[in-house]
Amino acid sequence: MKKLILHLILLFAAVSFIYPFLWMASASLKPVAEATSMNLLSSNFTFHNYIAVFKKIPIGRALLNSTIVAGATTASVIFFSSLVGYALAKLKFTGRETLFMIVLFTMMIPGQLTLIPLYTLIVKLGWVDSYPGLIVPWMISGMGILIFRQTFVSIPGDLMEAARIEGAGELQILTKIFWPLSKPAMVTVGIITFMGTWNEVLWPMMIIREQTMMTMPQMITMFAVGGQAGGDLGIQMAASMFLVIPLVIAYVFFQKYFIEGIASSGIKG
Amino acid sequence: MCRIYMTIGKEKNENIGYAFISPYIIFLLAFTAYPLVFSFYLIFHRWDLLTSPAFVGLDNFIFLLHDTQFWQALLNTLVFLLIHIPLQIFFSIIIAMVLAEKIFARTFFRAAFFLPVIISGAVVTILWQKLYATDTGIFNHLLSLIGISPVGWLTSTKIAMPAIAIMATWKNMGFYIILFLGGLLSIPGHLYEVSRIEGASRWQDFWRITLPLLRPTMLLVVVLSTFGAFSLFIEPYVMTGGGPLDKTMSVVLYMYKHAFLFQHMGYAATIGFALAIVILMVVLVQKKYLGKETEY
Amino acid sequence: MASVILENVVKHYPNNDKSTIKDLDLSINAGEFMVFVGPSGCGKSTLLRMIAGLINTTSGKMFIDGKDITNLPPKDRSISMVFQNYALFPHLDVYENISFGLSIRKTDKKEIDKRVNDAAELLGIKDFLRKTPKNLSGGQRQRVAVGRAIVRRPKVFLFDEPLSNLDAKMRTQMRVEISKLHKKLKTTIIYVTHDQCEAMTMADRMVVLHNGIIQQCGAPSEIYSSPKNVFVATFIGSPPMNLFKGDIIKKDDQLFFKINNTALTLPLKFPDILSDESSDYTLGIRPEHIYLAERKPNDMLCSEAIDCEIELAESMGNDVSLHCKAQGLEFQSNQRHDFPIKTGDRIKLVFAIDKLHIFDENGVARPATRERSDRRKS
Repeated sequence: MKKLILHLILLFAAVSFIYPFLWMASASLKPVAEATSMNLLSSNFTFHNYIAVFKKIPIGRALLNSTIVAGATTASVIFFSSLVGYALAKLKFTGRETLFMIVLFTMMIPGQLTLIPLYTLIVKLGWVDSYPGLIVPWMISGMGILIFRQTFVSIPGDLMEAARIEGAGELQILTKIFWPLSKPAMVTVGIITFMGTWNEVLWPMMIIREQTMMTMPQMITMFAVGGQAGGDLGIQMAASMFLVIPLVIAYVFFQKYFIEGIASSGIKG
Repeated sequence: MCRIYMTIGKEKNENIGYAFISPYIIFLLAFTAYPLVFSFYLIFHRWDLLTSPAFVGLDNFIFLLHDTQFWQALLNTLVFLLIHIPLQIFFSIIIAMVLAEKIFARTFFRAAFFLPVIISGAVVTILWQKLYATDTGIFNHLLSLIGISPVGWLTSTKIAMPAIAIMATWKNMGFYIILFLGGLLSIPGHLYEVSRIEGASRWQDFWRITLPLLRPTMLLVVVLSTFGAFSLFIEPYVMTGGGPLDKTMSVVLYMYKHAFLFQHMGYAATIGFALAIVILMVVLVQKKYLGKETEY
Repeated sequence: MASVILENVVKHYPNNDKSTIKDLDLSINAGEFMVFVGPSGCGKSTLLRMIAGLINTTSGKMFIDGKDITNLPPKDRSISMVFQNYALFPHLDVYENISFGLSIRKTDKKEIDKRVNDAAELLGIKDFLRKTPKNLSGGQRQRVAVGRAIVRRPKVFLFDEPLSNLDAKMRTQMRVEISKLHKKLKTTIIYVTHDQCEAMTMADRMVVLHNGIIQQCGAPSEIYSSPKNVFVATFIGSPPMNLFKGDIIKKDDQLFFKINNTALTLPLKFPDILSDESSDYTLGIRPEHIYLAERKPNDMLCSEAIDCEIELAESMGNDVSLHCKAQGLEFQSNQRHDFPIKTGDRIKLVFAIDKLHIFDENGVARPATRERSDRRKS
């Protein structure tokens, strides 16, 4: 009996977490007249709103931009952070401990402090309205370095020595031995970075003016706030679905990694 | 065993270490150190990005002290925190405790609660704006079912900020549930067995064992929500534009407005600087009162 | 086949006031099976890693096949190494593990295939080339590690305590296999172990290391029969050599060793070298050179019978190890286990005078003992 009540409470809570998204999906498929209805199902489902989105805003371009920016940032963060993580974990050099302290320190600086100076730097570099402006400032992450360092520290030194004896260079040891042995860490760093970049809205809003350079969240925000959607709820929801669907699909497949990765990033950050 | 733990020798290998970290060093200098140093320059200057910066001494700070909008924004954040944190802790502990029991389809529930965490704040905000709509939103629809007249969720000066806080709680709760779940599962089960033998009730268990041992997690949750609260931007930007009457203006949104509507780079940097100091002070106070050393 | 020569090699860690390896000279012949043996912390693994190039050398020079390798990275030294924990790459299968070094060197695919198959054949691991290390037993993993080492055909194989993670039976078996492998390949091997049994059975020559210094270098039989000092005498041999402190005294032109605090005096056989009375000497005798009085070999010069009490008799099948006590002295004696004996019995034992070792006040063996053994060998 007690179990049943627990499950009912839980089910009610879970519904309240999922319902808004179902409603969003449903509204994106409904004709204008039914858009605000609370019902999830309708006999008049149509892709009209999705077609309208393509007509009103260059959403295809925004999807491409988001993919490029999130993809490049993720690849770069994984590569460079693991490089630094490897050096911190397994190579000996003067100043190693100091560098590690610096990495930890950078993670404690509130982003709000450097946001405006960083923006002025992008202006000076002429990177406003460009991919470098969106990607380069986020190419290496302290969190990524930390996660890779912790993972690499626990890989036995014997493997590294064996690889050296067999003739592998340090970069080969990283890519051929350490990467394959740290797949969970790579997936974690990849997911956190990809998700963060994919969803980021403030930074693009600061440095992007040209509609053709906008990423999805900015495009959708502008669309919803700027009035292009003409207050048409269904179209706004349809546009939002483009941003949500890729992540939800990834989430369904990598749920465990998403949850553990993001939780661990919170703990380490 | 005469095994010597030693990685590799010096000289040549030291160079490899430096080669590996050199991209990071350049990155660090350009995108962390430079902005950090330049922020100290900006806060003493007036700059619109077009003309050359003009030194204004402490003018930016003096203006900030008398800037009622800035203080309103800080106050709003405080209101947000006071609603958001207790709600967050209360609900996420309860759900985490339920999930810690032997529950049917636990993975499903965990995934459901976590779903909003992965969704862009922009989408969540746009979505909730519709849910909060005075005439067509589901909240007022539900209220009407029990005979309560419509509430101006985002238009009332009293309710707008709490409404945003509730939304933020909903968005982030999955994350905090996972943190609490981790904390709960790390409490050794034999403590509860001892407590059973000593004759404590479940209620006493919660207050005397669970809660004290969750303290580190609690601190983490409080600190992380505080960071989140001070980063509030897209929510008021989309939902209210900071209104009504600046009651939902967040500090970051205010900074953004000064930088991009008025081109006040020096003043925007000063707001960011002041905000960073406030954040560090608040976190220090929280650490002092909530926990000794916590690892994160 | 290649020789390995170490000249004045020193390893000094900056945070350590004593050097780990102290001015070490060693010449290893081409094709030789050389074993470094010593207690933990003696520097043997450090020395091996210096030869491998995993640890750099503070000073001194190292040559492989006449080529100065002191400052070369491991990959250019023409060596391969087998690690204590096998160090197999867990994410690669056996084939990929063995061919790792070859593929790093971009060797032709067909050549790799041939060499891996040859090695697998030799080591009897052909059946699980596609298994990953975690699905293999300890002995199989060891074979794969050996396979990875031989497939590149380096000039020198380095083994770092390769058998210490195996169970006793497997260890014996692998010991034999590695010895056979050496006979087949004839490649120079440097093998580190703390197990004297491995050292004795496998080595052509062995180096006993202690405190970063070579205590003795030579064939196992030579080191066993004529240890150069007390350390080697007690480290090699199980149960260890019995040692007694005492003085050398002269009586009627004959030298005797008088064991401290007892009435026991043993006649010494080499008056030409030990001509003077000296104190603070040490006398050593291996347990198998203490005989039952009634069974002593006829042609052997022995001491007078000593009346002993058996404190403990440990049977090891065909042998029995007796823990004896006489006049406050404790020592061990090994006997064939073909007569009834039990704890508490009293027996009479004799020491073989021929087999006595004498060490001076610094623990260094007197030349007499060495010369004597040399004479006997020839």
